[in-house]
Formats: sequence, structure tokens, C-alpha cells
Amino acid sequence: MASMIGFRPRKGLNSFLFNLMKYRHYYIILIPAIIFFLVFCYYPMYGVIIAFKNFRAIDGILGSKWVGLDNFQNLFNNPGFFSILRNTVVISLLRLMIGFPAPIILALLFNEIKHRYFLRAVQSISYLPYFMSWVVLGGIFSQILSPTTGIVNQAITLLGGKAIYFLTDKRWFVSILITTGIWQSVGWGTIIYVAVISSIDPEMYESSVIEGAGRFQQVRYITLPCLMPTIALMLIFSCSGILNAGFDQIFNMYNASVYSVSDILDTYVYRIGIQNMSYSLSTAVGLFKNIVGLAILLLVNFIVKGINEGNGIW
Amino acid sequence: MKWKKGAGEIIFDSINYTFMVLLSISMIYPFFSVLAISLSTPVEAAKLGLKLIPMEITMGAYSKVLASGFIAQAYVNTIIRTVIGTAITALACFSVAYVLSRKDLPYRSAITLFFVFTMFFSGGLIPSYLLIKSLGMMNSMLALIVPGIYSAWYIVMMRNYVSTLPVELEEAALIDGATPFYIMFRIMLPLSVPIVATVVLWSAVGHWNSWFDAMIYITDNSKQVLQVALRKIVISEELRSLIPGMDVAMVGSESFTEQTLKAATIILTIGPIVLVYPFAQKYYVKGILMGSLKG
Repeated sequence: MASMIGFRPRKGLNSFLFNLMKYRHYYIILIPAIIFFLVFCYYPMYGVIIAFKNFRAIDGILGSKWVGLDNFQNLFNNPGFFSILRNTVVISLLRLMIGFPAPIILALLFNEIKHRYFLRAVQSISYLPYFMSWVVLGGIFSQILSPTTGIVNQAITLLGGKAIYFLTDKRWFVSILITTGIWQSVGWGTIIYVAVISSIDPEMYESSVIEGAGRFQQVRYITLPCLMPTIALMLIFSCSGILNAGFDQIFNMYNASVYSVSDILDTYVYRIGIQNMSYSLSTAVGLFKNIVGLAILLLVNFIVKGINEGNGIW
Repeated sequence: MKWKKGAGEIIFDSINYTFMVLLSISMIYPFFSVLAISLSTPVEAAKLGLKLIPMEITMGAYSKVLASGFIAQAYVNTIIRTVIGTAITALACFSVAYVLSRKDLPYRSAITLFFVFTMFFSGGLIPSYLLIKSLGMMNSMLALIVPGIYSAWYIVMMRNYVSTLPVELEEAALIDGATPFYIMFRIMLPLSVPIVATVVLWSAVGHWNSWFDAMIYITDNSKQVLQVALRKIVISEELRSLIPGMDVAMVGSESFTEQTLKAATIILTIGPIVLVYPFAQKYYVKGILMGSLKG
């Protein structure tokens, strides 16, 4: 390699190689990472094209026959698909309507607690459910809600009622789903709102008190407006996730008697994909979900920007 | 600011505080309830109801669960996976984060974009599943550890942190002839303990709670992970086949029932998390703040 003294790197290939040499230690560290992302992230992205093929393991991805949009047509023609789509949207919307405001309200309530140690204790406790997997929580709730040995039903029968089959009754299952889902995530969800609230300039509150503002008015005219950009951002994320209705939770709590109300896109993808090995169809559903999700993300971002004067993701 | 409290405020505060207490109870009670069941004798478990503390305590359920090789083996597998997976992930992501924090690195933005792009788009379940299959990682610990080695999210978080460390340190070390490896491990890493601790905790909890990958990639029960073991026992009702001797004990002649066995398994699974929780919680919260507020 030519001596570095007096070496003037020329444009193009020479400067590229020069940089490579000079920073070689850094690039060496990067190489495994780049290979990793190529293999585990970008290659599966390419693998999505099996949604447009009739994939067979023997033929591999390239060898499988191209069928264009046939898989998607089969999908939409399948009567079961729309009930699954409906379940996904219904559950997501319910989560959104109830579960989205919940952490905000809780954060505001946290803000009204003046005893620091009490507040810290409550907050710490409220994060605990989020640390548990839905396998654990599903197990716990199946015990608590059990019609025979569960606490809830024992209380109900004690008060003279009849035991409710919470987890196998179609009329109850979705409510239980939403409630336990919020129970798990509401504490954790307050974190970002509490952080924003704590960064609000105290002087604003002080001057409002001088003007005679009560606590409720302070919330309405100071706290909430300051939270708006964060709320808008979180709303955009939540809306774009509308086709993710909570696979982890549903998969660990559902059972055959409630499929009709709780089978969602992701559980469907799992069942026909991994269990039935209909790889192409399953990938098609996944792709459909991602494309719609992206479209909704762009749409909601656009709308929120319009309302909020530019407070979107981009 | 102090002002005299009006009646309305006092009412609001008392309701708020009461609500907080009820909320806290609702978050803790389920865990205590399961703990109580796991420690109960069959007689107690049947009539425990709303009480939290059983009159008679027995460790029968625990000894039965641990005696069956299945859970014990799953525990070992999970610990191995968590420790190794977390260590590799933390080091790998930190090294990349350090490299990307060097502002004079050529093609830095392009490479960063290359990594970050994967946070928004993914191939989906089936292509990833087929990939693992074709790599020959099915039914092995590799399938659980390798896909998680590099995470764009951790890399970005760590990079942001390292960027705030003084550049002079690096420059001085470079002038003295240190290699980037040396700088990274002997200078930057010790200074980055807070963010590394955060990532270690996030990764560890993630590995411990991880069940779906083990479920689809691991077929041998002896290689299975604790969460999936728990799932088989509590949710998919494979209790009888996995813990031998169950049929004999159903009548309650021994010191456990199906219910207490399930409860004991749950407690064993969440045990380490709950123990680690008080310290872990602080870092966990910091992590999410560092991630979301920086964007």
C-alpha cells in the first residue's frame, strides 16, 4: 500500500478505498451488523413476494409459480375473511376509544397528587402489569375468571348471582379483553404524558393562580394544550396500528368458543400460516395488513397535521 | 403554591386518592391471589375465595412442579437464553452505536438510514419463519438468540447517548495511538453504563417474556422455554401429559391440585421479574423516555 505521506485522494473509487482504509476499524464493526440486517430484515422483505406466488417449499421463492393477485382474490372472496377483518377493526376501535384516553386521564390525575412518596408508589405499582407477558397474564386471568374456582365468580355467587363464563361467553369475551388490556397498559402509558407535564413551565401555573384560576381551569387551559402535540403524535401511532388488535393478548386468552368475535388478522395469519402451512395466503394477509396500516398512518398524519398546524410525524 | 382548599377540592382529592389506592390494589391483587393459591392445600384452594392468606400453607405444588423435569429444564433454557442473548445484544448494539456516533464517519447517514428503515417495515411472519427454517436454526437456541442480536431501536438509543459524550476523549486517545476497539471498550463503555444498563434490562425482560418465537421454532419439549412451558400447562391444558403422576393426585390426597400446580408454575415464571422489578423499573422508564422524547 502506498505511503500515506503526500497521498492526495482522487475522486471516485480512490477516495472510496481511501476512506475504507482509514476508517477500517469502524467498518469492520459495522460489517456483521450490515450482514445481519440484510439477512434478517431485508431478505424477508423480499420474501413478501410469495404473496404473489403459489409458494411451494420444493420450488423455493424464485421457483414458485407467479399467480399475481390470485391469493388476494381468494382472500376477499372467502366469507370468513370479512368477519375477521370486522373483529380486528371492532376490537381496535374499542381499544382506541377507551384505552387511548385512559393513560392521559390517569396522568392528569397523577399530576394532582401532591404527596411525592404516595405518587411514586402508585406509579411503580401501575407499571408492574406491563412487565408480565400475556402468557402469564392470560394464565392469571383464566384462574381469576374461572367459573368454578375463580374469585370473581365466587363473589358473584356469594351475592346471589349465577356464575358467568367470562372467557368462553361471546357476549363477555371482548369486554374482558379490552378491560384487561387497559389494566395492563394504562400505567405504562402514563409515562410519556407525565414526562411532558413535568416539563411545563411552573410559571404558567403561578400566573394563572394569580388570575384566579382553579385547578380544573389550570388543567383545561394550561396542561391539556401543552399535551396536545404529544397526544397528537400518540394518536397517529395508535391509529396506524389499527389492524394490530393485540395478537399477544388475544392468542393467550381466546379459545374455540369465542373465535367468531375474537379471531383477528394476526391470529388468522398464524393459524393458516404456521399451522396450516398456507404460506402464500398467510403472507398475502400480512402484506394487506401492512399496506393498509401504512396508508392509514399517512392519512391520519395528514389529517392531524392539518388540524394541528404541522404537529405530525413528518 | 399554597392556597386555602375549597370544599370541592377536598372532595376531589379524597376521591382521587381513594381511586389511586383502589387502582394499586387492582394491580397487585391478582398476583397475590395466585400466590396464595399456589401455596394452598387442596382443601384451602377450593374454598379460598376472596381471602388472601391461606390458613394452611404447603409447598406441595412447588415441589411437584419442580420435580417434573419439564419446568426445571425450561427454567435452565430460559436463563441461558436470557443471559447469552442479552449479553450479545448489548455488546453488539453498543459497538454499532459507538461507530455511528462518530460524526466524521463517511456514509454515516446512509448507513444509519439503512438500519432505521427496518424499524418501519418488515417482511412479516411467514418470510421470517421460512428464513429461519432455511438457515437450519429450527428447534435450536440459535433461533431464539440470533434474530435479536441487532435491534435498530437499541442502536439508535445508544447512539444518541454516546453522541453526548465529549469528543475530546476520543481525540486524545486516537492521538495516543489507541484503536477504536480500545476506545470503545475501555473508555466509552464505562462512561455509557446508564444506557447500557437500560438496554440490558429491556433486552433481558424481553427475552424472559418472549414466547412466540419459542413456540413456532422449538419443537422438543426439552429445549422449550419457560413461557411456552407455562402456556402449555395453564392455557393449552397439556398439564396431564407434561407433569406425570397428575391423574393419581386429582382427588386431593396429595398436597396439590391441578389448580395449585398451575398457580405455582405462574409464580415460578414471574418470580425473577418481580424480584428484579424494584431496580429494573427505574431504568426501564428511563429507557422509554430516552427513546420517545428524542424520537
